[in-house]
This record gives sequence, C-alpha cells and structure tokens, in this order.
Amino acid sequence: MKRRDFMVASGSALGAVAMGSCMTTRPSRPSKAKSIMDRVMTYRKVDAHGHLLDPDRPDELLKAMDLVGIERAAISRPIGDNPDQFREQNDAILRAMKMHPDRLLGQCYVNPLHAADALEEVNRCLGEGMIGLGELYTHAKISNPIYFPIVEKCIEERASIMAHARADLSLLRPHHPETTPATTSASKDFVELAKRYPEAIIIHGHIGGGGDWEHMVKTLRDAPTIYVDTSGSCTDEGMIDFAVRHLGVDRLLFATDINFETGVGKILAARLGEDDRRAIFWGNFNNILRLRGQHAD
Amino acid sequence: MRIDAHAYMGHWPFRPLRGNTCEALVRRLDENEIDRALVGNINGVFYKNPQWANEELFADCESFLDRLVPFAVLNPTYADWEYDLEICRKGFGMAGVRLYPQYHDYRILGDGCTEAVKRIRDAGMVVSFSSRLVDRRQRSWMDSAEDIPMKNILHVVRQVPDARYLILHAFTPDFANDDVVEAVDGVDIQFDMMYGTATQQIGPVLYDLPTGIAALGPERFSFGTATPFREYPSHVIRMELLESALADPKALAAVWGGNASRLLART
Ligand SMILES: [Zn+2]
Repeated sequence: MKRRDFMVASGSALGAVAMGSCMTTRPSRPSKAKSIMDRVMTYRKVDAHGHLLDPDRPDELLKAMDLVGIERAAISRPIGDNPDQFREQNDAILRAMKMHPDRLLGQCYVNPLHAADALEEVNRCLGEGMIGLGELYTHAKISNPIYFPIVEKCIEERASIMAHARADLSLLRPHHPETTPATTSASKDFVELAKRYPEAIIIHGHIGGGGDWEHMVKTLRDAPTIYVDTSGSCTDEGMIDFAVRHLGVDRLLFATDINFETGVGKILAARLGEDDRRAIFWGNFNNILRLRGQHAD
Repeated sequence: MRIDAHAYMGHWPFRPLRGNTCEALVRRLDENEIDRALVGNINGVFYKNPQWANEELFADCESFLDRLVPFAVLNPTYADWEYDLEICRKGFGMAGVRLYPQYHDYRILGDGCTEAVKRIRDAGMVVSFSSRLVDRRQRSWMDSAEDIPMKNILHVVRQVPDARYLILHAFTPDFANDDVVEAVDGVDIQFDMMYGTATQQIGPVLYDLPTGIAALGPERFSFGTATPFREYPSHVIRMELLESALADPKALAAVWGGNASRLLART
C-alpha cells in the first residue's frame, strides 16, 4: 500500500502514530542539545546593551549572565524623567559596578531635556568609571541639538553613546497611528548625528528591538561610523546575516537587552565564520572599551 | 521524543523565509535532534480560499509523514469550509486546524468563531489559535492584523472547554494569573513556550517559564519555535536552561514532546 493510501485508509496521519507503524523516533540522541550549550560556552561574550532589573540585586543579573556565559555586561536603568530620578538610577548602576568591577560596566542614563543637569550627570558618571551613555531613551531624538554638548563630552572622553532605536511605521510613515512617541530615535536620526560628529562612538540600540530591522540596516548601511547592537526580543532568522551583509561584521555588537536565550541564540544561528562570530560576541565591543582603557584581555 | 509543536512551510508575503519547505523543515529537525514537528502552511493565511494551502501542504509533506504532522489552516467564514474540514481530516489525515481570525476578517469573540471551534472539536481535531504571526512593531504597512489578547483566546476556551487546544505565539505577562489558571482548569490546552525564559530576567515580551509551569502544570507547555520565521538555536538553549530550572526531569520531557505527543495521540 502506498503511504498516501495508507494514510487515507487509516483516517489520519496520526492513526498511524497510534498504531506505531510508521512513527520514527530518531534512534539515538547523542546530545546535540548538550553540545549547543558547549557551543554557547565556547565564546567569550561582552553584552553591549544590558539592564539591571532589580537595583539591589546585581547578583541576579550575574546569575543570568553565567547561564549563557556572558563575562561582562554594559548596563543601565533608563527609568524616570527628572534629574533626581536619573541620578538615582545611575547611583544603582555605580553601586553594582563597584560590587562587580570585573563583570559589570556602567552606561549613564539621562534625560537631555534637563540640559544642564544631564551634562553634569554625564560628567559625574564618566568620572566615576562608566563606559559611556545608555540607554538614552525617547525624550528627544538622538540628532536633537540638545544632545550636542553631551556628545562632545563623550567624544572627548572616548565614551560610547548607546540609544534606544525603533523603526515603527508611525516613525517612518507618520500617517500611521502612533505606536511609539514621535521623539523616539529612528535610524536616520543616528545617521544625522554621525554625519555631524564622525568621531563619536555611536551605538544604535537593538536591531531586534521591535521595528523593521531591514529598514534599519538599509538606513545605516552608508553610515560606517555607527555601530549596531544585536539585542531585542526579535530573533527572526536571517536578521543577523542581513546586518552582516550590509553593515559588515565589524559594526555589530552582541547584546541581549535582557533577552539571554535569544540574544546568544541569534548569533549562533547566523551563518558566520568563527572569527567573525568571536568579533561580534566579544572583540568589537572590547575594542571600543579599549579606547578608554576599560577593555578586558 | 522531541516535538516542535509550532512550525511552518510556505511563503510570508513581506520577507523571504529560508528553508520554508517540508523537506527543509525535516533537515532542520535533524540538525537540532528534534523527532517531529507540527506544521501548517503560511499561504493559507493569505489565500481567500485556504483549502489551496492545505492541498499544497499535503503534497509537500506526503513523503515526510513519519516526521511531520500537518495542521490545516481554515477560515470558518469562507464558503463550504465544513467540507474542506472533512477533506483535511479524512483525506489528508490532518491533526488540527489553525485559525487566524485576525487575518481572516472575523472576530474571535463573535462571527461564529465559537461554533467553528465546536465543529473542529467534533471532527476530533486540535484547535489552534495564534496570538500573532510576527511582532507588531515590525509589521508591513499591508499587515493590519492585531495581536489576539490571551484573554480573548481564554474566553473561547471557557465557552468550549471540551475542545483540545494548542496556542501558538502564546504570550501573557503572567501565566500564574488566577484568570489563566481558572480558564485552563480541566481543559486539554497547551501553550508553546517561545516567549518564556528560564533566566528569571523577564521583560515586556518575556515571562518566567518555570513560574508558568509551576502555576499551570508541566502538561500545559510544549516546545515550539515558529520556524522558519525564527532562528532555531535560541529555543533549544531555552530548553537546556529550563532543564536546570525544573526539579522534575519528567516535567522537562513533557515540554520537550510528551505533551504534544499526548495531544496527537488523542486525535
Ligand atoms: Zn530599548
């Protein structure tokens, strides 16, 4: 009996399962799944975009990092709008950094609309050993002149500037209903800033952070000084390959935005040579940190 | 046995997908040491008459029925769908029906959806809803489908508690919520675990998977990947981390495939 006839006769493909006659269980499982964790642990990793969820429990974050072999993470707490609030968040990050100086790197979060306080806070945080800014949020587009004094300070300090980016339809085509504030940075805003300040170390946050990642990558293609972090909950197959194809490996920085399984998985899934995978997981961001002498070897 | 309860073949109109045939799916299962997958045809979401897609799926997976379990896509507001249901069940041996009210122009709470669920139940097939197909933040301007909130899916479940359900792209910030626990009590329902995490670091679209499993029971979650929309390794990593988060190895085996196997065995 041909398989098709059999299926029809038995009433169901699953009838066959129930009868046990044509179900194939793969004979042996040598632990490819185990070996995936071996693969995960093979690579040194530094996370360019992380967050500290509980300000008093950096140990919880370290536990999660350990599960997927992340050695160091740049972290921030982008919460609150007024100076007292952003100082409080940065204080929590500074405490965590000091508790785990070999594991946690600080990114300073400010609201640039409080211009004087924001600049003062950036000075304080960089002075206390943070690596740069992050995750700058939706108060103003990253190309807004209100950011310029802060960007100039970061250039002077060789400090990186990481900001939240989106590519919702409402940002790209304003006749669509708003799904993110109109002041959210889109990729073209990063390009504008990079044109004005080609020496700035700009990190475009999370290509997987929700939004049309193809549009993001295409917009950033011809802006060679901009780095892109790979974080965000989106883990579409082919996303990293597309970014590599158009931006090159050297501009991509591994990051999780606290999505640990998918953060690592999407880099493992990418069709990359081993040197390139290592560059994304570790080398590229470590080289950025090297500019300020905050790298690891 | 390891079963991927959430896989596809077919085309997504807004982006090319790699490996979107049954043959490629089987290769992918091999690469990841997965025994079987439940597969539906994406094309059925977009054809006016989705039965074309079920015919395509059957033709494409016919040589892989030892590895792939086909699920139909049907639109219960389209003419003569009950006839197509019959063909899918008796002719093609399909195990379940994936319903897409958000793409097929009817409301999950109304427009006869509950009646359709009963009809699928009576055909002995699994009912599958999907909260979404892609993240709404990256949708095409032509893709206006809204996410289906879990509470709406659970509303249908309450009305037809004796159907069997597999919920794809299953997401709610809190599976331990009393409303969820109460709605699924005594119901044969499973959720894929693709938005869960075993790292305790939860976020806007990430819930704590061990907490969900503790609240609803390990029999409620199944390994599922949305391949080939999503890359595969992340899901396998999640299961590996879940292993250390769950005390009971039997619970892990249930999520890996025991649950999906049980759901299919009753078909
Ligand atoms: Zn963000």
